[in-house]
Amino acid sequence: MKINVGVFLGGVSVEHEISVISAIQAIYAIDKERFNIIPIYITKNGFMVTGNNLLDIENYKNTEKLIASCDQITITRQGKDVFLFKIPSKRFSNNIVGKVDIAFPIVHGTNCEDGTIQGLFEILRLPYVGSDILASSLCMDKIMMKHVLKENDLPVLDCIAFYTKELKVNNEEIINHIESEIGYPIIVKPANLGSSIGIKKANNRQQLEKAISLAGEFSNRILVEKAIVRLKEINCAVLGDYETANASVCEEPINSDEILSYSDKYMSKNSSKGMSSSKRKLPADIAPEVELIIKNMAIRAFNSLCCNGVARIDFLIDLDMKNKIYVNEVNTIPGSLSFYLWEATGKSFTELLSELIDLGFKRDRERKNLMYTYNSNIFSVSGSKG
Amino acid sequence: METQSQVCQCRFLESHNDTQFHLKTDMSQMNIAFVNLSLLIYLAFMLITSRKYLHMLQLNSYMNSRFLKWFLINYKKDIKPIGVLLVVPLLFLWWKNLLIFSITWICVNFIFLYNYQKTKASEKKKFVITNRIKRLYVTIASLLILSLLIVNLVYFSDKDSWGLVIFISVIILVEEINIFLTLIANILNYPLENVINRFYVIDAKRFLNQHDQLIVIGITGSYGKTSSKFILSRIFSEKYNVLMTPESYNTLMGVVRTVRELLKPTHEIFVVEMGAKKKGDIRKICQLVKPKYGLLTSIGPQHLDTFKSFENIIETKFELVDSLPENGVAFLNFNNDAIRKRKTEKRIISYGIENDKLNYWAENIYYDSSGLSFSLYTYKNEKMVIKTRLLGLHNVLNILGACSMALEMGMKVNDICYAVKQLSPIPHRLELKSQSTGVTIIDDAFNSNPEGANEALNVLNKFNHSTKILITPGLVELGEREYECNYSLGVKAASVCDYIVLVGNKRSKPMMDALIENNFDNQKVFVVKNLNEAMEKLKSITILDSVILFENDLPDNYEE
Repeated sequence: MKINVGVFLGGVSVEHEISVISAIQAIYAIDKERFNIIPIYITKNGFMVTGNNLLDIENYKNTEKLIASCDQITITRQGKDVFLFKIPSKRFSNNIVGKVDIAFPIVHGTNCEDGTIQGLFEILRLPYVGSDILASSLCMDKIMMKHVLKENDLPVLDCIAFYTKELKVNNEEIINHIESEIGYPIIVKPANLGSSIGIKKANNRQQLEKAISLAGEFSNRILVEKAIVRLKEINCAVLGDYETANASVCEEPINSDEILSYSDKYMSKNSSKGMSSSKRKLPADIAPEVELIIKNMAIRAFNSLCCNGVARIDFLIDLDMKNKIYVNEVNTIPGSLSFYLWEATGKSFTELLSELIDLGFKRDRERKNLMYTYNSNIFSVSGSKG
Repeated sequence: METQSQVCQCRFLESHNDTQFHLKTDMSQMNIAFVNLSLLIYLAFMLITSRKYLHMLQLNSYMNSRFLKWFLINYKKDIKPIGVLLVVPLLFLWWKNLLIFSITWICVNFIFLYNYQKTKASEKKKFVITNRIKRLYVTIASLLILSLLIVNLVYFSDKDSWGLVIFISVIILVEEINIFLTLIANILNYPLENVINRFYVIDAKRFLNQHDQLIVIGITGSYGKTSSKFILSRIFSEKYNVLMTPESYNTLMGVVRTVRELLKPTHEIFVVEMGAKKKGDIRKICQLVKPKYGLLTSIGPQHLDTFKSFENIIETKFELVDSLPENGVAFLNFNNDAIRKRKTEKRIISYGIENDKLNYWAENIYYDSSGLSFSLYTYKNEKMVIKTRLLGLHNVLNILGACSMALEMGMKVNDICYAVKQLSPIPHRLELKSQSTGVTIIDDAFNSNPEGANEALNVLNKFNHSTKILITPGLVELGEREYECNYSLGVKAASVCDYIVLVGNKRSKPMMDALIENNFDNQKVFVVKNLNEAMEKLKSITILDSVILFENDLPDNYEE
């Protein structure tokens, strides 16, 4: 009997296409002997559809046609199992189009990776792969993430955070404050977006205002931090849970622009290969002792943010400040699930996926062993014994 | 035209002349109407009351022989003096006054129904309305409707026949000995049930064959198998997705049902509790699930009546071991004489208490306010300390058996120790409760057997607390053994406890006798009327660092 894995892809997110690429890669690599794949595609306007046409990347060139060839579904628990029901339901036919034993969200960005989709699984009491609601939303919010990491003695760049509307009202005041506190060059980021979208560097006031208005288009909260002038970026993936977290080899992404931008990450030449095809040095060109420090920090960051499954932790090294290392970002569902880092560590994509699914089941068992409800109903306790 | 009027005339004449006959017909129609009414009410009554027997049949695994045996032991309770009332309608029946017979019978039925509702006892083990029970209900209803049809048929062929009287008398007797109806329905349904069961077994087998990665673990024993099942499943859940047979689904059909309804492709380990009521039961379950590992917790003279001999019990329990494959392993409790002495060809792992010749053994059993701890030694010269909130020597053995299996299957020591620590006791069964005031409570309120009470006092004895207090009403409902059992409980309590609170003057007399004869300080015994008084008394004697054992239930209906 194969385990039914519901792979969720797409999503109402700016990283919709990246998610499709990551998911199709994973579906291709997954152990077909053990698992049966059910693709569940979340369209750009938020509907869920399923169908075998979703398994072929070529079909995504014409999404309208693709969606039309699939069944629109809703996902519901009925008894001990979670089913996909066709909607609108037909009266005289079987509306069940599939059964899901574990959910595998391969979606990026807001409305999915940020804990939203995990919330759906929690409500359904459906085991799922990867970080839970808390870790997902913490890692998606760059401001909150910094707070947690700082509290756990992990080095992060100090930042100033504010609401976009607040800025629109007190523009002068806040910009003066930023200039005096941080000083140029400055990096401006929307608080809760992955994949470098909306991130801009500013070298003067004019650029800063432009950068802020760009970031404001993506998020209600914005943070600004000091831009490191001479920097090296290092990425390291962590796999496991609080007990078994383990770090991969490090990579050094190579930028054409100053920041690893959206176009660098995903739009270079071979766009259908996603993150795995970006330009990089693998393993990164760093001293072994630095690598050790980074791996160690990666695991600590992973655990202090309560992550599970695989996460890619991005570091910055300030070459002007005696190679000081900062934790920059944590991706709880990294592009291509960072399988290229694990392949370089000696773990095949197929093994990585099986391990991720097993971790999802492990967390589910741990939760089931906890007590969530008392068996007694306080409304029905009789007076004499209550 | 002419012929029609003639016919009319004829009819008129006929009815006019035979008024007397007509009256008689009316009378007899009323009679049969009332008989039918009473039969219908009887039918409803029988359907309501057969619930109790169907429940018992279910508890006896639908085996007529065991069901009958249960009845023969309990018939005194079931044939009630109120049944004498049936003589009244019977008399009228034999007097052939069907009208009065029917009316009295209806009355009697209502009296019975009232009585049935009033005396309905609460069910310890719930009655489950399975499809099989539904089919039995259908058969019972059909039998009753059939009897109703026969009555009508006989009546219309010959109103005055003695056959009718005898037939109805039999029906009335069936009402008094209600069990016959259930028994007959069960016999009638047997062939059908066999076919249905065979289909389910084949279906479950197909399911299991598809699930080729599943590791199956069998557990059997005269006692301790349910606890072991929970402990084992909890430990394995640290590493695997575990399915266990729920509640007491420990028969072949229970296992079949678990497989068909609960087994999912995600499960990696299937823990199967195997119960046996006769030879071959366990072998049949093994043939279905094909266990790779077997755990034999204990063998005792349980169900000796159906097994006939102790040898048969041993052989039946060992069916699990004998069914294991070449690479299988049997985990055996070597504290049990019967298990230790039985030879087997299979690979075995032995476990027990304080015996370093075994593969796994426990030593240094120690109690404190946080529970029980012991050292687990292995034949690989490893040692680990196990801590748990479960109490009692039987639980040491249960945990030991589960741990040895988990260790043999390569689970990590940390995972095992953590899982055992997380085990929670069954409420009111040697349940450890630590109060913030520094008082430790052992709640054994649901125990009512002498062996359990003895073990509870053993546990109390092992605690290193300064003051040990026992609160108990003594043991009840033990029949002839009641005095003797309570007396020996008193003797044991005298040697263990510092204070004893006895609930109920009359009931605790045997314990009191024992305490006096064993020179227990009479300043330290208190006899109270009820639990409330006991709690008041407790406040006056409880000091810090004391441990209190609540032994046996103190239900309201035992208040003196």
